Amino acid sequence: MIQLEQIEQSYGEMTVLHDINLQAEAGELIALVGPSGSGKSTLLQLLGLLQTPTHGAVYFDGTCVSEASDAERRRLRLKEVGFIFQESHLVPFLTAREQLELVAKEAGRTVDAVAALAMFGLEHRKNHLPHALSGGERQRIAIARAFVNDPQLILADEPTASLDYANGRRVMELLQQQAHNGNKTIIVITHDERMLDVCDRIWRIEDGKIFSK
Amino acid sequence: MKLGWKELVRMKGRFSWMTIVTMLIVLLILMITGLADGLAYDNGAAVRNLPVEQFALSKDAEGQLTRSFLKADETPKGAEALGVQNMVLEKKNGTKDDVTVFALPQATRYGPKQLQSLQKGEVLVDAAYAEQRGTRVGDTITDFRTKETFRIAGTVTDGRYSHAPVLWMTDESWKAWQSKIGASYVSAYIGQSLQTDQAVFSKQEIVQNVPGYAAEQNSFQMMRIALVVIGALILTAFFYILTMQKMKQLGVLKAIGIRTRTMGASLLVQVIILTSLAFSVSVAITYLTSRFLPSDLPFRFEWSTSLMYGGILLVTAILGALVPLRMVKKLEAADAMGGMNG
Repeated sequence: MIQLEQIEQSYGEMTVLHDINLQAEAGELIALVGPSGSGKSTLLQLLGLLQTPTHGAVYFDGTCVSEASDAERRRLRLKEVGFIFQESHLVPFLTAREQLELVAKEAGRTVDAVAALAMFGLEHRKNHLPHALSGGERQRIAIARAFVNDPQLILADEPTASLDYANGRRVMELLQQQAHNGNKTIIVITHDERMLDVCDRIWRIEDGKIFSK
Repeated sequence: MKLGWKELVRMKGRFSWMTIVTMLIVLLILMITGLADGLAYDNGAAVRNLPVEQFALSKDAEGQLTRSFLKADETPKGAEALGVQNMVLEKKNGTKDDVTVFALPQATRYGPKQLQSLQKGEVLVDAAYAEQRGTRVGDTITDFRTKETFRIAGTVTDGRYSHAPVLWMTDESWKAWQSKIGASYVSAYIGQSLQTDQAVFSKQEIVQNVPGYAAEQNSFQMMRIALVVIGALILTAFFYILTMQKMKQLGVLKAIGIRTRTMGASLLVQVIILTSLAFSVSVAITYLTSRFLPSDLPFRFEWSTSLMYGGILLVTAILGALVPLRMVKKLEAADAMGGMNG
């Protein structure tokens, strides 16, 4: 599904990633773990087409996208990549339903936003603004938003960091279920070792190098 | 579109103050415009109301009626001789007023119709002046310098020149009055298309050369332009700060693939709605004010000038919005997400 080939990423003198070769397939839930400053966020930005590598190539569905234009990468992000952040980062003045509709409309799709919310047990919250929802509910809406355009790849940056264990566990199981049943590639950065058993594979990164796959 | 509107409506608190501030500035612009238009009208009404295209003045008069001296018997064919001069009126109770005398032939086609029925020594006065000073038809007034007396035979509306009321008389009365001073001249030949060697001016040029007209209008112009710029700068600063506060939110939207155009359109819609709303409320207030102001205040509400300044402000506000728009455009999706660095 997505493949990194001999990736090197440098900022001036500093090299953040060295010779990274990775491949993720559809239906996989992969954990990306490593100490802070190890380069895992940079790696996630490369996977999410938010950055272009200094050297090497990124293949998305067999197509090289590391040389694509900004507009083309934006279009791919909108349609084929779903992002989940540490915090929900919802638009503060849109209701749960509108959050999803905004993203769908931008991609030129019409979706049943209420049904999409129902998948995450949130249909009764469809007309609520973010400030009227709990942290767990907000994060689940953010997840619903990430899935709304039916992307092939989902990237999550510590999606459970702002949640308690029970809610965090629920989010991880939700992601696992989406990967397996929805045949999606899901890559999750996590610090929480207790969540790793849900994942199919673990990528450990340290000092910009991958240690185990 | 909808995005910008929803933010306006659901974040009312944030935008309402800004709408009020903008509205007050627009109100000030419109009030000054009303005053400027009122004074402009007051200054040149008597000239403006003459249904002629051209004014021929002596070459050294620089377009000022009171500085022009021409011979009455050289009036070109189809034109009428207009006499204009200041007069200090002395009334029976000893009070004095500055007025401007306008004289035209008795059989005038351009002046007030009542001129045709005036006798020698009879005059028409500005209606507003007559009302303010309690002057009535039948009263006599005296020229302070020549002691020539005139009888008021009627009133003329909007008869003002250089902020002074106009006293209309026939050429016969004018000649008699001039001979007392030892002069014999007229100020201008007026008509639709003049065949003459004198300097020819359009009506608009004559109005602009009324003493004090340009100085007065230019000051108002300066004030209005300053206010438009201030208004636009305040709006720009507001949307700049608002955009700064939303950098993270906008960065996230960029990351998930929302186009810059969608976000830019939402910002523009807000600028346009906010400015238009402020403008509409201000126009309503100004219009109502103009209806209830006393008649002697030179205030005129004119749709054309009000809409023009509204338009100028809107354009300036949109230009100002280019600053936050540029911020949105330059914003890097990756940078805005603190959580993804490191």
